[in-house]
Amino acid sequence: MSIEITASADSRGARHKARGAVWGRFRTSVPGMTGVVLLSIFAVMAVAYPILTRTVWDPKIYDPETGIDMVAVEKLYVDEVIDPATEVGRVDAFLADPFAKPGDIVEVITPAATSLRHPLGTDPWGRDVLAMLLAGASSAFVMAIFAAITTAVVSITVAAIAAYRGGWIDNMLSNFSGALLLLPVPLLMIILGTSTIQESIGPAQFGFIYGLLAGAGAAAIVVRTQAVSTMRRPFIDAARATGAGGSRIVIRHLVPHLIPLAAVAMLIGVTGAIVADAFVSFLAYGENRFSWGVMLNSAIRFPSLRGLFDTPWHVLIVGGVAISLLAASFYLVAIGLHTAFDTPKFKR
Amino acid sequence: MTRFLAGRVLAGLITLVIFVTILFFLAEVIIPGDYATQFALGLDGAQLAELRARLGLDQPLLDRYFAYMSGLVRGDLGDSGSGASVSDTLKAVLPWTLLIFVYALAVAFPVGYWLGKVAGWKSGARGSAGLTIGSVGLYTIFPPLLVFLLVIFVSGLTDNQGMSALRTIFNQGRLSQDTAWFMLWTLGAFALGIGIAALVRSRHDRTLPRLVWVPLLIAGPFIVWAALGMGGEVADILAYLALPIVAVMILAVGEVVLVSKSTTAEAAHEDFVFTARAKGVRDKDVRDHHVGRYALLPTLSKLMVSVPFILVGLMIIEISFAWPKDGAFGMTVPGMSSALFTSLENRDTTVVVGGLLAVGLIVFGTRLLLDVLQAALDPRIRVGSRSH
Repeated sequence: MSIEITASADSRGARHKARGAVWGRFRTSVPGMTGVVLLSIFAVMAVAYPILTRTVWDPKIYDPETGIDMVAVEKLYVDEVIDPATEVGRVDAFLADPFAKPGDIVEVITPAATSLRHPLGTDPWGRDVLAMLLAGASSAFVMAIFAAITTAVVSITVAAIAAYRGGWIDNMLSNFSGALLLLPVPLLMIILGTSTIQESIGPAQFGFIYGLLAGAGAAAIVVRTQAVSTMRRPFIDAARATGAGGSRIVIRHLVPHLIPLAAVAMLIGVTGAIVADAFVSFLAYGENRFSWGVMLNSAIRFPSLRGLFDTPWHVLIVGGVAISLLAASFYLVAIGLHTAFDTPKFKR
Repeated sequence: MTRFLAGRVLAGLITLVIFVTILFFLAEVIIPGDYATQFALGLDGAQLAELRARLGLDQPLLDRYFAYMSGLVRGDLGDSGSGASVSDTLKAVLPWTLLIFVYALAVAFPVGYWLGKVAGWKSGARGSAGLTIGSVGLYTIFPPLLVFLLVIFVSGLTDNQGMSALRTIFNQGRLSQDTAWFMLWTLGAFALGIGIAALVRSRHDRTLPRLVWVPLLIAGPFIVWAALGMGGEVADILAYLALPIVAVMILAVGEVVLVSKSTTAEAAHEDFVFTARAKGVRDKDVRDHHVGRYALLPTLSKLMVSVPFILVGLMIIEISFAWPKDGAFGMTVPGMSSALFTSLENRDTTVVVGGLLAVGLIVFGTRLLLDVLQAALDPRIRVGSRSH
């Protein structure tokens, strides 16, 4: 008994040291550290939004969806007959006032530039861009975390069961994962998001379903390969020889070796989840949650009403870069982790 | 090689059956309502029931599943709610998606592979980390943003004429479906011919010189099309698809660079590299002939996982070009995603399942192709299958 305690204490010390070494190598990876810095910035933004709305920001102005502040207003002379049924003619004037008649002068909100009230300006419907940016960060973060954890848990579970049991269970699970791999998960999530118009799914559910499909598909295949080769290593036999049971072998000896690979797979998977999530809201579905896609929606729809070179660039770039950077930061951390784990010492 | 191929195809068929099963039930779960739902306001209960009975939607789910599967074995993908055959619908949209996919990857793969190789070889250098971050940026760029920037760029460059010229091509119906299919067949035939020639030569331990097959693969199809008098139609199609192709290319190249860079960087520490250097082989030759050749195999196997994601990017790009529908710059790409998302709006489950099946088949086909390529390039697999 006492021997076992010292042994586990020893291995705990060794594990601690290994963890320090991994962090030491991670720190040398420029992409990895860039990702960590970016992620921390987004995390601060995600936390800042609920705090700001509850203290300084008036929801009537700063709500990312319904807030409105008529900072910049353009007076439009309605020179054409507007047919509300077909929406032909000066569509922007019609949107501002459905009862406008030719000869009327209509006030139309236009995107505003930077001001003290709106540090990043407002979008074509008078919404604050900074508020949209922060709100999008918290919704994307919730989604990404749910997607990441679900992917990792599902992929490790499937891979560990397949590798430990082997035989027909392994065959069945591998075939199932292979079949899921033919179905691009982001595409499925876009279909899911666009077909549930009535009751759209929230960010947490979106991340969970994404993780379920990605974890059982692509991630499981990658992790399973590692699990199978781990099961062949001598320390598994040694554990069996000491009389360790199945659950102990899997949890204490197999799973710790799968975590690095599952972490990399899950971070890369999250990239797709973020883009898919943003795209669903870009297509103007997913109405009970806010996401950065909405910003691009309003930024691109506006010039299509006004003419191509009337783009509100601040809205477009802020939204687009935010989506891209959040997705990229997860990918960059994955690259950093990959370099940290993938050294000769760990390959052995 | 034949044995190897047969084994892969058989395993693939089993996977496909599971895939269709998952697809059929998943579509039933995630698509609320059915084709008749859209008429719920206009028709009364009896008419709706009659419509459902005509479409077979009143049958139990399992019966419908078995009917669908038995149809599938006979090559029948079922009918859409409006009565059109799903395979005809797919036949009309597939060539455009495939052409974009083939041309974009044909550029993105070699370019990305070369860039990644060069960066991976000097993986400690500062520019290398920059290239990694840049590639991640390309890979994660939000497709609608990319499409919008491309449209703005072309419009600015051509003084607002470019997009309307493209719309004219579409509106005048100059995009011939048959020509597009013929283009695909020609490209396939050339690739197959060159592949077989390379394989035959490799049996005698000789390689096909790059100066022969690269120009042949690039220029050959164009010569055939021009000789058959299809030059004008082909030019229209390629001009119309140029923007989507460039967009997909930008999206895919980042991914290829990342994969190729990491495999090259790993291979650079192998023992044979030190041996080659000790022999006095030039640095560039070690990179291209020793490390590059060795890293090509893991690059291909890792890219198999990326293929579905590149395909999703392609479909998102297709939708983005046509968005918004009333937009001043909307450009309809008549590809897969238009069929998929129109049928999704109509709750036309048969077409959605058929479309996703086609997506799965494209992924499957590409992976099989990469698999074969990998086997052909890997002496171990080649020799192993010969000795069996």
